[in-house]
Amino acid sequence: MASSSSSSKTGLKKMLTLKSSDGDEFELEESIVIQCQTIKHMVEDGFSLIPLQNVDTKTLTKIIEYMKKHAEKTESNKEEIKNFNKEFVKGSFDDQFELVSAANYLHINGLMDLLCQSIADRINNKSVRAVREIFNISNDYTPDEEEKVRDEHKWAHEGGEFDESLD
Amino acid sequence: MSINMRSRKSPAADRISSLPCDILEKILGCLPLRDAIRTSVLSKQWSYKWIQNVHEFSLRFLKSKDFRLPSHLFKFQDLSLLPLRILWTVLYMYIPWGRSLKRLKSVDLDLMQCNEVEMEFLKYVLSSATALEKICVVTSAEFSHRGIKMMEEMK
Repeated sequence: MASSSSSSKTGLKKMLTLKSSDGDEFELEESIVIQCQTIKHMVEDGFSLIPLQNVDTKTLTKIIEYMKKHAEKTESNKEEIKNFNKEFVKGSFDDQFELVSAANYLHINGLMDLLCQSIADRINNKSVRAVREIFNISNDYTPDEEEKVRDEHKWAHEGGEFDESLD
Repeated sequence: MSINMRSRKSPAADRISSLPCDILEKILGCLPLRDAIRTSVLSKQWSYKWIQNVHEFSLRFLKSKDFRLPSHLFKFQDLSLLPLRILWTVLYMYIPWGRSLKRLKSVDLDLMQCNEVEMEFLKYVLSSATALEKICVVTSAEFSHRGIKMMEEMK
């Protein structure tokens, strides 16, 4: 993943090193990494080795993959980026939560938007029971309390079938 | 911001509920309102999460006799627009004193009854919406008399 070749090729491209919480280092062009606001601010403060204590190697590898692809974005490859995004969000919920937490920490707005929309799309129209089960949310309402909460917004629970599937 | 992301890996953990608030709010903001509201039934922790994303809110009451405004209306911290059309209704409003509508910029009230409850409500809005830029009240001549007087007193 580390791309160390281009630093010697030209003096123009400034390189930065990102260090994951597992201690792995990734060398990248500054122009790719500054999509991430947190890192951008550190670069402005003069850092070139950036330790990311909250991001493990697996997650950082995915995030670098995203940043590299999105750094290539032009007017003509919109479709390609769209397909990349579609593939990118295909992991398990656990992987997505890991990524969304990292994207939030790193302030990569585009990636945040992509992940939040994808998580929302996957729970859209699911039944309450299914959402609880998918995410292991334990229901701490008593039956009476739950009834009351449902009653507050009856319309939201009525009409139409809800998706009971657990994928 | 410190996120300890490596401690939540046990398979049965409720990971979504332990995500930082700003992430959850963003996810809920991507859901249709109906789905976002239904999350209030998931667990107590979720009962009001969906509210954080409401920025505009519109109510229209027609011929309802005894209606209470939902108390969480006043928990919409980011609410900036509040158009209320209250027609043919005797309104008994639940006003949770102490909650602020601090980001409310515009209020549009169509009050037909000009009773005490409505006057109280107006007073409440005027006193707690500190960022208010515009208020529009449509009502009878009698009310405009009382309403204008009250608004002048509160200036």
